Formats: sequence, C-alpha cells, structure tokens
Amino acid sequence: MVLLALGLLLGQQTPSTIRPSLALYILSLGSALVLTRFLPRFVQGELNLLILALSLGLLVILKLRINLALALTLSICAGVLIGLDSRVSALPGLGASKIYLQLAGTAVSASLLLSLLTLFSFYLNKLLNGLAVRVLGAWITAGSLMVLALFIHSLIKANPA
Amino acid sequence: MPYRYTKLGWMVALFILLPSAAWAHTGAGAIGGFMSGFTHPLYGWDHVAAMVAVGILGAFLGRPAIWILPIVFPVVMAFGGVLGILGLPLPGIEPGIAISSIVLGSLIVLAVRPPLWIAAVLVAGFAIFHGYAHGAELPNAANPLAYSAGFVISTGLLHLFGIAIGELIRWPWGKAVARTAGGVIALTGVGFLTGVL
Repeated sequence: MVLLALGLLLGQQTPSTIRPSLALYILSLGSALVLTRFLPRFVQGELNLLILALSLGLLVILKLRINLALALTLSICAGVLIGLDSRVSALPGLGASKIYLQLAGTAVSASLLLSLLTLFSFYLNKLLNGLAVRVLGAWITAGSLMVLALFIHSLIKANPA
Repeated sequence: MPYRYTKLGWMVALFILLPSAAWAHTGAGAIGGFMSGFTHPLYGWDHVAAMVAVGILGAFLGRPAIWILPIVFPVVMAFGGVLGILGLPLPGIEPGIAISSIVLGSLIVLAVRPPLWIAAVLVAGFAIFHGYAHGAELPNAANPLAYSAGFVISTGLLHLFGIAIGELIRWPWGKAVARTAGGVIALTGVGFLTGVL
C-alpha cells in the first residue's frame, strides 16, 4: 500500500524530484534492511506503515506539487519503515549469507516495484488530467483508513485497560 | 524507436520479470489475501453496479464531478467501513446498497443532471452502506492489509471502467451506450431489492 501510494505520488512530480527521491528511497531501504540484522524487532511497524499510506493517499488525491524536501522525507520514511518491517525470520540452520541474499532480494523487488509504479503513474498522469491516479489515491486512503481502524480496534480489544 | 516507446518497452520488460508462475505459495498469506480482496468486489454484483454507476455519473456530469464523485465515494465509504469494523448497528445495509444502484442508475438513464453538491451528498450517503458491508467483512480476512490493497485496486479500476463508459458520451452513440448501462445498473438494483438476483 505504501509502495503504491508513494509510486503514485512521485509520478505526479517532476523528473527532478523523482530521481533523488527514488535514489534516497533505495538507499534508506537498503540501510534499514541491513539494520534488521542488528536491531530488535520493530514494534507496531504495520501501524506506522498504515499511517504513512493514509498520508500519501491524501497527498495523491490533492495532486499537489510537493517540494523536494518533503518528497525526500517521505521517500526516506517509506524506505526505512518498509525495510524495518521486512525482517528475515531466524530459522535454525539459516546461514548469514542466505539471510543477506533474502534481504537483497527484498531490496531489489521493493525498489523495482516502486520504480515501475512511479513510471506507470507518470504516464497515467497524462491521461484524463491525472484522474485515474487521484481515484487510486482515494482508494488507498479508504483502504488504509479501514485497516487502520481494524488495527486500532484489535489493539483496544487485546488491551482493554 | 522514439524515446517514449523505448521507455514503454522497458516498463513491459520489467513487468515480465515478475512471473506469477514462479510464486511458490500462491494460496495463502499476503498473496492469498490480496487475490481474495481483488476478486471480492468483482464477484459482488451489487457493489460492481454502484462503483461503475459512480464513474458513469461523474463523467456524465462533467468536470469537476468526474473526479470529485469517484474520490468522495471511497473516502466516505471508509467511514462507513469504520462503523462496520466497530460493529455499530446500522439498519438496512443490503436494501441501501440495492437502492444505491437504482437511484444512481436512474439518474444516468434519465440523463438527470443534479447540482454537484446534491450528487456528492447522494453518492456519499450510499457510500456509507457499501463501506459498512466491507468493514464488517474485513476482520474475517486472513490478511486484512493485503485484502484491503487488492480491494482498493480492484474497486478503483471499476470506477475507472465507469468513467470510461461515461466518457463515451462525447459521441451520439456513446450517450446511448452510457444510458443503457445506467438502465442495466438500475434494473440490477431492482433485482437485488426484490430478491430476484
């Protein structure tokens, strides 16, 4: 959801904003993936991802030309949160090299997917004045809000006090 | 080859690198949740009719309704979804969904052009019923996030399909096609309301 929303948002921007944003996203994603080997499990990662997807979805609906600093900040947040939430399960007998290979696979696929989505959104924005992208943004906002509500509801039910 | 076609070629080539045949576990977890969410709106004809109707109505009313209505619907629908998740009682969900198809389909078939705010309030009101139904189903999904992502993409595409039908009104024959689609949607709603469908 975050990848889709960020791809749509970046596709609404100019190439001069897209390129550094993608580069910083890949860098932060890679760093966060490596950090999962050394940091304890990231608690409530899904909650943060949902809040980010909701914010990105709203920005896509508004179709704002955001400034470079905000685009870079959002890209770094997305890269770090996705990376920290993509920990490889520690299975007995799984060597470090295999873990790093899995992390590399995650980095490649998440980077490739965001690049494709950005390119897709960039061209889709030329169609019907970017209407399709805004409609998808509205559905991302709706989906994130509903899952966020479900998540918070489950948390409250699990800890009634 | 022109530059823009080269880029398109790269895009297609990169998509080929994601072959579904290589997925090891297609029936469970995130993939299963995504596919379940993606196909869910396509099998529920009452929802399909309303989503397509919102798209056609938006295109029928022209700008800015063409983008306001398909955005108002999901955003308000999410609030209905929250009501469903919280389990707050809301009477007449199924009749409300059926009536949404009848009203929206009738507006299209009769070529009624209400002011934008009335159209937006109507669409928002019906969105609550659709959202409530989806929200009530969401907790049962194996992977709610993946289910929601699939659901989002699928329903967004249905709206776009409706907009594409509505865009046909630029041609005289297209107007007939769009109004016929509106008629089919209204009849579908009648079928659901009376229990025939």
